[in-house]
Amino acid sequence: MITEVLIYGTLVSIVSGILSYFVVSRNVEFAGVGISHAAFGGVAIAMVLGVNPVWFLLLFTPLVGVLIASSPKNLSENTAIGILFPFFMSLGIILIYLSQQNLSLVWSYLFGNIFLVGRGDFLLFLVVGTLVVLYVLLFFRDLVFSSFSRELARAYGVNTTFINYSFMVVLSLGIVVSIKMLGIVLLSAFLVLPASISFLVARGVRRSFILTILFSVLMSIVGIQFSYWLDLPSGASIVVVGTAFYILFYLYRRASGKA
Amino acid sequence: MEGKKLILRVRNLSVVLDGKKILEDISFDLYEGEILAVLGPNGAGKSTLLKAILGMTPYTGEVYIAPGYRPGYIPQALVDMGKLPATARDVIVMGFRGYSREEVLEAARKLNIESHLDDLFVNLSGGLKQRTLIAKALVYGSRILLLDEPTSNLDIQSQRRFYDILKQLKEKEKISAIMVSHDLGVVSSYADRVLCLNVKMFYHGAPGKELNIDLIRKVYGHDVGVIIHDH
Repeated sequence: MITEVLIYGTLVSIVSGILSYFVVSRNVEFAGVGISHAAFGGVAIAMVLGVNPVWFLLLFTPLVGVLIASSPKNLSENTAIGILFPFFMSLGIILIYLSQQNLSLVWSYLFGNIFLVGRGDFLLFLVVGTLVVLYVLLFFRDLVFSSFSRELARAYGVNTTFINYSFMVVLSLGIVVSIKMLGIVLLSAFLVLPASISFLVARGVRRSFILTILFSVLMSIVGIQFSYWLDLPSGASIVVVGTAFYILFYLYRRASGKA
Repeated sequence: MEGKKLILRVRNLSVVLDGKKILEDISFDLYEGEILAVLGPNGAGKSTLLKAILGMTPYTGEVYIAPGYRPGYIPQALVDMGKLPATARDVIVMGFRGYSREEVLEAARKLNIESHLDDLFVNLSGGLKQRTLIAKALVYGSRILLLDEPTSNLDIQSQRRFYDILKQLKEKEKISAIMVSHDLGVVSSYADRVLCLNVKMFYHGAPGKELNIDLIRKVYGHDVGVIIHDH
């Protein structure tokens, strides 16, 4: 059992590590938080409609991602997220309250548990995870360039509008298939921590990209092991381990005089 | 301009953004190895002119760039820079494929930044950032540099170094440039021709006698003082 969970955890952390790299480098950490929390509203709507929440989220969260990316000029992305994120959370709370749903199921989506992931979830993850990896392989140059500076990338012919929208959609899909493991509340930390740790120590695009994925896998494996040994919730354990890594590397950087 | 190759032709270029006229009926030519300075007050449409040439903003009129003379853009500052820990080398090749290590080194040598290639771009001084972005344009194969107020954030020494490099690129490599500037002294010393604009075009020609205080006052639309200094 633990071997299967570790394999699943490693694969999910590779995908979220890749997403984390671009979430942090593009300064859209709040979008990750917004999309994952808005997904809570999606879970509630699916429960009320009586449909599978994950399948529903595969349609619902990309729409939220596109909505955030298309925020009008006079409304910043952060403002749009600040409005949409509490709206969908509130909508979720109201719907669950009114429909008297099973709260343990809601809890599992909020905080995740990798030990409860089924075969169907794993297969869905394999399909969506492969799509995320293919997208990044295909548009890696444009993603990196537009993460560095959208204006400069545009001047050199990168279609930054396409990259912006498509990344939001891919990020949303990545979030949906990671929810079972990490939960809506903790997923945002998983999208921020790996790249934030990597950027503390790495120099250069390639090196920081590889290190982000390695940190993501490492915090996932160590977190799952802790959760297994101490019988703790998996998502929370992974995030605590990741935060500890961040603090350690931050202190190391300070001690070595780089911060 | 006999004997010189025409590499950029702009005719009747107008830009309207959100119902506001930003540029109106701008026409000029740029020849190989020539530096054109664009003078004008804030909000005159100088940066928009560069963006229209790059196709980054919608316009009416004609912009013709001779084949093989693709422009390279060097913004005033990268205000939208993300957190990517990119080195100067990363920035030079970012978004490109099919470049060689030698090309990168050669461009770095021309800009005198070889010893900074592995430094984090974000930690470089304003002058080094500027030169890294010019090296990027050279690796891209740009023969026209579009420089948006390139020296506004540089100290006097870095400004001088920047103009010397620009002069070398012009003389040795026949690189052309369109340079947005506020400095009349620099314009007189380094530019072959000047375009004065404030939405409309007020002057296009050599930085000679016609580029006088009366014209500058007319372009800037109010009483401006001129300080004479050496370059």
